[in-house]
Amino acid sequence: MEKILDVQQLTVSFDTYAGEVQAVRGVSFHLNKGETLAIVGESGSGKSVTIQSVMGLLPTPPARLKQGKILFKGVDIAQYSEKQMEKLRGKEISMIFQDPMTSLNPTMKIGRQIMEGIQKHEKLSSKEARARAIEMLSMVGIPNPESNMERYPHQFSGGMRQRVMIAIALACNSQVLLADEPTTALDVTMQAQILQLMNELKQTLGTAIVLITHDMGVVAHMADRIAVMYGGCIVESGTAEEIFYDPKHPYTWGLLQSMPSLTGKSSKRLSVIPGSPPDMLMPPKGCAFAARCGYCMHICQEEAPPSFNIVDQHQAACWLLDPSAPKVERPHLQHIVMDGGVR
Amino acid sequence: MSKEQEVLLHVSDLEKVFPIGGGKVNKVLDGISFDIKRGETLGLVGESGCGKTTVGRTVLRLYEADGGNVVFKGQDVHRSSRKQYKQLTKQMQMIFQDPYASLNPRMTVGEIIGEGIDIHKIYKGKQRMARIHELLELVGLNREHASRFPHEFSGGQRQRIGIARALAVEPEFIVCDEAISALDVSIQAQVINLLMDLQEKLGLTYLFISHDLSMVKHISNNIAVMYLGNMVEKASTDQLFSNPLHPYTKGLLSAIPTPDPVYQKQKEHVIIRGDIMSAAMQEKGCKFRSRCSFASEQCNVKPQLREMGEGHFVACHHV
Repeated sequence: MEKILDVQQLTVSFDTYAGEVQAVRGVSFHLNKGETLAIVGESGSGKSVTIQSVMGLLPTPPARLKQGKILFKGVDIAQYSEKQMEKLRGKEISMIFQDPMTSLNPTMKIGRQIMEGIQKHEKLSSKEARARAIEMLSMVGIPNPESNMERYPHQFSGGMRQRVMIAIALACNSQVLLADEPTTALDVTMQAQILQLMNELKQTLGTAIVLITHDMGVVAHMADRIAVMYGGCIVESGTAEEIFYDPKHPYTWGLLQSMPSLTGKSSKRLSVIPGSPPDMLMPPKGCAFAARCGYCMHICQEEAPPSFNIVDQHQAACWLLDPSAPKVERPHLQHIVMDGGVR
Repeated sequence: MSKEQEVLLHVSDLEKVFPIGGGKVNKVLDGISFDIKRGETLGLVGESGCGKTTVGRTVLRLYEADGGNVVFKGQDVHRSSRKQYKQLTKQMQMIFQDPYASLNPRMTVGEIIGEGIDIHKIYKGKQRMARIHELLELVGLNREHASRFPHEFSGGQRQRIGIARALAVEPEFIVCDEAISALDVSIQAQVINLLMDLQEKLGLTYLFISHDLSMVKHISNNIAVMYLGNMVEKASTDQLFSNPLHPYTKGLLSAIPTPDPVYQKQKEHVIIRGDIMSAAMQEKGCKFRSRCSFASEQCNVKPQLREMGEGHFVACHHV
């Protein structure tokens, strides 16, 4: 499969008065054409910073790209100037933000906001751009697109606004769509609608999606492949089946266990990951998860684990996978509804 | 055990109207009724804008009701005198949604927790400080935290401070208004477990308001589903999940993504289409009819809650 986006050893820090916040520490992942990659993790794990540096949206300073390459179709866009990035944004790579309430311009009619991107990137007359905008609006399921072109964001509900955001993002046929928690601000019923829409658009337009979320349910619905982030690093990555049915990293276990199960028996207590995420001002010397890990060994606190290959693309960074580590039984995963997954 | 059967909070036909300018009003609550028994948890779920937060606030009389009764331990909350109401606030407390906005940034944690103790003159001096330390330890924090300020804590820790503040006056009933929505999944589970432990230890009664059905399932004995100011279904947790009757409840349950990719991709999705209806159409009839796949002419008449099985109420003509 063809890699459309290939991020290698990305390291991003923020220089603050308190010191250097190491938000992203050597993250590598790739995105194939037409697939959905989900990046999951808690807030503060560095998933938004990763995606924003791909888009070149981080203000420098305070942000600083310390090292790493971002290859888009084989070209390193991390070295691009602002002018070069402007040509890319919205045309080749687009982004949907978490909060549709604040990411649309409240003083502009939504039709204008969709046309803005089209006219910037393509040589179209305003009439043609308008026709394209109307087409986009009906594609994302907004009724009466022509009259709705003339309305302002505050006249739409949250779900409708997120549809407008998607219309703007896809107006120029971007090949990569970066979605940063696109449904977190929405109700479950709206979330279901938006996820379905994104899946449909992915199929008809062949857009590759990077989806950031902390909801494992959303991930199960959307993702082909998954990368689990913790403390600025990717701790485990693999196909959706591998991560859900055969997870190897204790953090992934904890993440899957703390999801309340809807179908299974409700065991009274939820299993939790004790403690809280590490302070990225002083990231731990060893494994970032060591302080919260029930399987922590001496080496975990001394040295960061390398990435172990399990099969094919399934990788996990945990010392338990070292041949000389003691064998550990994975806790029971109650989220699995169907048997027949990889065991 | 008769104590378990005692109804602690009885709400009947609660109505709340907000003026929206130009002489018009928005009827946010349109006849809400429920009971909560001592030591139990009622989960209140619904989409944003359905009025669930208003229910919580009106029950505590943070809003004055425009109709209906709230009876707590035999006492009418909305018709009590100022003095009686002050006594009631000692027994009824609230945990708020946003742990960042609901703690005064200029007060130390000790002052925040101690405020209620002072108002109700429960403890003084050394005893008061001991009580604050005890509360902090009860919610899983350290006594040293009493002299710190809210900004020094993470979201989950702040929510624990909010819980300690609510517990400070030894209440019997707590309204948890989206108490976990602003937290990360792993932290949500921690707070849910804490709330359940406290319920067991102190015999608390909760009204647990949330839009997240999967979390509500874990903590509630009974669940009430709201849609645009009406209650559409009410049942025990097991009943509601095993046998949802109202089309809206079915859609709501189906919309929750299951963390199992094979199952999730195979399962049948009942997707609730469209958006909530305009205020003009809400005047009469079933408010869900614009999005309901079963809607018929019958639905222009407002359905009443009917009992469809033991303790299982539903407001729909088509059940």
